[in-house]
Amino acid sequence: MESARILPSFAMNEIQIETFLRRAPSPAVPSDLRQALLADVRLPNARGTSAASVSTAPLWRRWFPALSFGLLFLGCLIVLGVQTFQVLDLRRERDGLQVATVKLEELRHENLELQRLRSALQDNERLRRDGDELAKLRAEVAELRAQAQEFTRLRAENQHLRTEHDAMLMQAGVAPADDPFTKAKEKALATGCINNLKQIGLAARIWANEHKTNLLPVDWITMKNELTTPKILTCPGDTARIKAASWDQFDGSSVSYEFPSAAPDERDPYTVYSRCSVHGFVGLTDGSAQSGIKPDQFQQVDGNLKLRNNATKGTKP
Amino acid sequence: MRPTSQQIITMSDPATKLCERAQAGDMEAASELVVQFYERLYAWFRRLTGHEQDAADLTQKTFSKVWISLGSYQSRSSFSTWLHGIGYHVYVDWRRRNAPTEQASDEWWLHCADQAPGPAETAADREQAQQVYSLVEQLDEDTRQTVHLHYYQGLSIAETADVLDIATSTVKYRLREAVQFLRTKTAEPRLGVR
Repeated sequence: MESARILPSFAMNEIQIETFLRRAPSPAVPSDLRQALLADVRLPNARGTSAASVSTAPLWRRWFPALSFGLLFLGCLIVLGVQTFQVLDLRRERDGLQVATVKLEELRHENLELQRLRSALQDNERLRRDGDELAKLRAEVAELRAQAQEFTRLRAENQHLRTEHDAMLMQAGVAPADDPFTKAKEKALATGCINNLKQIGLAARIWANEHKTNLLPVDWITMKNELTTPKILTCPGDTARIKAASWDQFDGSSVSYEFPSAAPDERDPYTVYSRCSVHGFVGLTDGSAQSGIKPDQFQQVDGNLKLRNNATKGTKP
Repeated sequence: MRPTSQQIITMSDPATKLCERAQAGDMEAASELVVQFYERLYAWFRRLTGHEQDAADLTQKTFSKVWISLGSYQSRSSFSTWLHGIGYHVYVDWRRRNAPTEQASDEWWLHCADQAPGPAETAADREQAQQVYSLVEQLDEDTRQTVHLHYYQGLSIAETADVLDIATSTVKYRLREAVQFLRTKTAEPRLGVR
């Protein structure tokens, strides 16, 4: 049976203590440790057993450092050579560009001279054309002058012939009104008047159609868009009036026609719409123009001038 | 440049010559170094760790680092000092990764004393020795390391200072403190079990 007890103390001096410490026992070493340590020996530059492994290493692995350096050096040489060739090429290009620059200056001067000459040539050509045009104009002026002189001569001759003609008619006892030339002229003027009335009637019907009404306008300005020109408002036989060239110049003084009806209705074809103050020709609301109608064939109905039913309609000059 | 006195000493050291041969790739020299030093190294780690397997592992790690670092050995110190320096760092790394080791028990030292021949010629001597060895394990870590290297491993004060990377005066101070501690403790009455 174990029991606790006070053990005696061993008071020692330093020498005794150091003696014990220096002679401390060594523990037993495991038997396999030595073999394990010897097997683990790995030397960086091992000879003998490890030399075999070096010799069995592939040839390329042993020569790899030298080969890699050689390849690197060769690559550097190639790059250097390529760069040298590129530098030489660039220098050649630079020299060529310098020569081209000098030539470019010369070409620029030549180009300027060429442009100046071209401009002068164009001026010369233009002057030549102007000269030709001037010569042509001069020829035309001369021709016109000759024609004017001829015209003056013909007019004088015409006047002379007219005088002789009138004298001969007087000697023959023929009135000027029976003169066939005068009749033809008056007929032409009457035809023009009829045409004007027809155009006025047509314009009025167009206006009524556009405004969806049966009543025709009794004002020239109202239907000026349908009337192509104010010239048709002047009768060719009305020598007292001057035709208005445009609506800007129109002031009513050039009008030879009048509206005899207050409210002309296009549904009533006997209603007179317009009337020439020179010839007495009338335009009806159906767009036709009538001539040669005697005054007693008209009648006034509700403010409108109408043809009588027995009046001959459709007579034209 | 003339070699220093320390270098002259190490150049005449047989272990240093073996080391130079091993640096040149001589496997036999390397094996001879193992044979010469592995028991001392194992005993050191065995005393420090208190376990056989840990001591064997640390011994193998130390020699592995020796072969890796062999090219950097420049004979400025003896091979033994250089080897203990590597072993010290291996032990410190191991101690950081592992929990603090159990101190070697009294029975272990008695067991060792029984097996190994030494001064314990009498039962009283064996008991005194066992008490001293047990008290050494109660020292603080630095002082304990210093005692192990100087007394147990047989390194000189200068070599111990090299291994621990401290001044020789520090080594002397620690040794004096340790002996004083052991003197004081051995003079005190102690409680035993019978």
